[in-house]
Amino acid sequence: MTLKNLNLTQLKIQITWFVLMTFVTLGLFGTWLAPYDPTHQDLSQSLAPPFWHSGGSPAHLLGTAPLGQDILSGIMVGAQVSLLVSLCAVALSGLVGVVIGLIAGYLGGRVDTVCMRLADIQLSIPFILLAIVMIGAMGPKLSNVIFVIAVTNWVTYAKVVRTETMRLRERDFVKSARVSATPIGLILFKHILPNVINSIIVIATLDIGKVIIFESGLSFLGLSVQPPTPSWGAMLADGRKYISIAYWPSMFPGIAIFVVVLSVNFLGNFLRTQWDPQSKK
Amino acid sequence: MTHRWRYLLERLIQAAVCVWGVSVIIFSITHFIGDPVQLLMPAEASQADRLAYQQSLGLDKSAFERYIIFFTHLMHGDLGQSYRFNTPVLELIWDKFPATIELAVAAIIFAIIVGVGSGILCAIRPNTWWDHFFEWFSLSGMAAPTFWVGIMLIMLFSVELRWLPTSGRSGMTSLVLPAITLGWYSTAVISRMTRSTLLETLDTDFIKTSVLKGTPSHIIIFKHCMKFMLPTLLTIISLQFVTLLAGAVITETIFSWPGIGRLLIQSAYGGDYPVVQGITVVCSIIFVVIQFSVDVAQFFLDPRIGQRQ
Amino acid sequence: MKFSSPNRFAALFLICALSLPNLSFSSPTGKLTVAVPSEPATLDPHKASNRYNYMFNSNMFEGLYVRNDKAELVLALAESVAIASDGLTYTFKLRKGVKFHDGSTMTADDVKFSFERAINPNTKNPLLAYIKTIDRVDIVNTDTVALKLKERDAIFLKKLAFAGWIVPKNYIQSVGEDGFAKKPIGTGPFKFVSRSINEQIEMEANEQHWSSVPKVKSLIIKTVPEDAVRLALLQTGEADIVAEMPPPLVDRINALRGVKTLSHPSGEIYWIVFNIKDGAKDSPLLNPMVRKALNHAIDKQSIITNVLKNQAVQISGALAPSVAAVDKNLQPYAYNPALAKKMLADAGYPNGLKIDMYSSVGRYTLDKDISLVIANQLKAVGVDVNLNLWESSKWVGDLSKKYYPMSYQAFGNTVFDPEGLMIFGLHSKAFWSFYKNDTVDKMIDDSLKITEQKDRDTHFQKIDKMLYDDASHIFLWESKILIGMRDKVNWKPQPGDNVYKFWNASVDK
Repeated sequence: MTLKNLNLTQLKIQITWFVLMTFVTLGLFGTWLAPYDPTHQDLSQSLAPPFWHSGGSPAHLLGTAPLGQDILSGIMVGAQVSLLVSLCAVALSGLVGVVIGLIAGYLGGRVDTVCMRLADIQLSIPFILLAIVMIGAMGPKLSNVIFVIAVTNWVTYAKVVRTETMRLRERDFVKSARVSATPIGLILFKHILPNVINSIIVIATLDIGKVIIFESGLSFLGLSVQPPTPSWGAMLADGRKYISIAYWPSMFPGIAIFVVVLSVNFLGNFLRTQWDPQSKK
Repeated sequence: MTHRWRYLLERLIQAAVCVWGVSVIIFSITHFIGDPVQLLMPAEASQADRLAYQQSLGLDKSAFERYIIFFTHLMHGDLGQSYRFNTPVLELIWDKFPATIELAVAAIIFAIIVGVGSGILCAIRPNTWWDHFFEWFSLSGMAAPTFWVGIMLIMLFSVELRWLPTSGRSGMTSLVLPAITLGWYSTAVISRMTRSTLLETLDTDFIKTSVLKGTPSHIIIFKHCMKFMLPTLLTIISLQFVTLLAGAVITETIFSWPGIGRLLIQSAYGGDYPVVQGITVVCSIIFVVIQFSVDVAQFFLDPRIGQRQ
Repeated sequence: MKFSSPNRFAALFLICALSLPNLSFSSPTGKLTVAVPSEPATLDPHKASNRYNYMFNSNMFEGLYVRNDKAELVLALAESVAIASDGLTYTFKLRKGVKFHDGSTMTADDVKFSFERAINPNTKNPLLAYIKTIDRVDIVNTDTVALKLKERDAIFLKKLAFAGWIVPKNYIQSVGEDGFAKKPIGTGPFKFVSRSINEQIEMEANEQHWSSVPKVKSLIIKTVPEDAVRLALLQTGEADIVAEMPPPLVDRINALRGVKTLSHPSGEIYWIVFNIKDGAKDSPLLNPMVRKALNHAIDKQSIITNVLKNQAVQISGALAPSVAAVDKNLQPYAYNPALAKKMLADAGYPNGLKIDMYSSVGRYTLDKDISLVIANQLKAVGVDVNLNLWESSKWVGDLSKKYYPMSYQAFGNTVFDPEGLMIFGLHSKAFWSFYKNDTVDKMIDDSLKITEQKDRDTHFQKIDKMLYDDASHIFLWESKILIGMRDKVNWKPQPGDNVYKFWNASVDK
């Protein structure tokens, strides 16, 4: 690697780290750090442009939304929803998927068949439809959004873990554990899981980005958290109406999503190259 | 040999059970979407009129009865009548499907050309500016929400530059923007996968020997490497194709593309149960058939798979 | 005098000219493309359930009476009507020589068939409520039909113009119900060419029309739910007229080259509905003082100016000024938050209240934004509103099943008479009404018997005043519809509804 390339990679890592740290900080403390209450309305300031345009002011750095809400504050507080939804949904779907994958891969046979067919059924029902129905029936609350995404997202984890488990099952250290009558749970937890955890983490990291985008897609269809709770997806969807006269209500939340997801993807990619001995960097 | 046929039969039965499972689930959940009677009756309709309408749609019967009717019709290939348009669901699907297929195929072709192309480029020049640029490009492709990309493209290419139409399906030019929007994500995935698979392949002894032997690089890449990469690439591409069909919903909505995705969303919001059920059942059948074919192909190519117990 | 050649020619010319009364000297040319947010359900006029059905019907079909492109009630397929003194028999003399789009002549048989079909329970006509007073239809002679009603109906002719479409009997009987829905045929100025569900409907000029041959040859109505895409279509010229544009875009559309905006009253009134019919006996909303306070708490004009960009006109009561005779002396509840707080305290709520409000998202223009502003304004007077914003179809579905103490709603115009609003939106027996007031109910029932327009006007104004005094709702505004149109198009929408008629539209070269 040349010096130039080394610096570039370092730079990428540093920027990614910075972005993710900001995201997490905002996600945890956004409400206190934001200059305004993002739900505060001020009709006289409707759609004020960002401060670098004429008509804009430093009072609202990134401009305002149609009802005068401060966009910068919306982005800072909206990080909470994105952080919460992505972490919880990924954790939940990961948990469910890993458990099913371990069981299906280890036990094989009928159990495996049932699990795989279940996965097929899950995959053939359009996610959007499921979301419309479940959110429609249960209401657009944060917990429901997390639940819907988790319910539809477990399959990837299950399939990857299953394949790996099937491979590991034939390895000597696992076989010897079976012979010595170790309980299955222990085998799975102590012997197999540690070996699949790296793949899971890579998938999970990339999934975080995917889920943030999923949530924004749900907002687009009106199926995610409702105002006044700010969320990047909702801001994007709301701003869509005004795109021809004001780009800032949609643009900045869109950039926020983009930057965070990009960083998360870099992170996931980085982890994959570190841990997967086969892929090259 | 009977062992193989038994596996096939088992898989076939499983596929059928899958489709049945989907039909049950989709049937039960559609009834939570809106209320066709309230959505399709105007404000002036009285309670009595609404009840009569409900009866005419058969919605006054119990869930079990309704499922039996739905299932028996399904077995005869009858997907029922659309509540909104009063036309057979199968006809509607038949009418709108080609548009979605056209879009998905165009998107996957775009994704393959740009994805495989950029992947190869990155793999043969790892860690150069090209590589970093495309890594950034493809990762960002996975980071931009589809509907955002779509609207931005319309604003730029249709409204500002006037190069392409804004919406609707009207010939090749109108296909460009929707295909790019839909295929954006898959391009990124395919690009990454091509790059990593190609790098792996380039590292094998066979290829290294070919390089030492002095085989021209284009033969190495396109003839030898491709052979190794093809199975993986095909799996990825087929998976992406299925994802595309699912992701078409948002793209079709933005571009007013008259396909199945848009019809599904409108029917879901319009309380048109038969259309929602029909589209989902058809899509699940297609999906299950693809899965089944892939499994069977793998089985016949690699007999070890059917032997685990 | 010798009958010389020039004179003979002149005579011949005169004879020809006189015997061709319908010859128009310029035949229809050009294409008009209109983009609207949604589409008709089925194309059968007796199964019409949404506004886009009504628009399609007005251009394709006609009734004995119709609304013309200025929303005036005029004779169409009938030449004259004679109403019996008991008000129960309407005898129509049919216009002769009217042809359906397939060339067949409209006769009394078609009229009888159409009405019988429209009121037949098997047809499941969603608009049955408008014509269910028809008892039977008798053919008096080949061009006279008598409609017998079960009871007097002061606005029967207005209802005919809304729901009394005439369809061809022989055609329907030969191609069947499905065939008719797939390829409808009527007597209107436009003929059906094709339809692609979710995409567009294509129609063409009916050059045999008895009075209004369209100026354009081809009319295409595109279904484009996305506002941004409709705007883009207007900008690129792919659409000539785009309807129902969001109010915030008015300046943007005006700024476009070669494009102008049109705005007209929609006939649709907006209000916050209190559910007085259901709900707990001790609900604060049952107290008129509380409702009046809430009326004073909302700065309606500010919403109209800032959110709706003046695409609405504030109203005092429940009547829409563009379709009803409104009492000009009735002043709307003034914005006075201090008074609102005081009234709440007097009513027994010095510390304010907590209320649930349910609004749709996407069903009405800017419904979400407006509901947010209203909730905010109520908060300022101590009313803690728990605002539930639900996706449109869920909101509609639950409207009749769940208890919505307060909800943001609209009520549109169909027959250009307050009776529509009263019967279907205010009377306690109406499905879509959540108000209960026995006196108002009785007055609405009485209005059905009043026939003189002036007396009706006064009577409805009285009812309006009662609603106002009782603060039955939070009265907001009558909306306007924003349309973007290319300069080369000559067309004017009518006030009072969005059932647009295009036969007088023309496109300059």
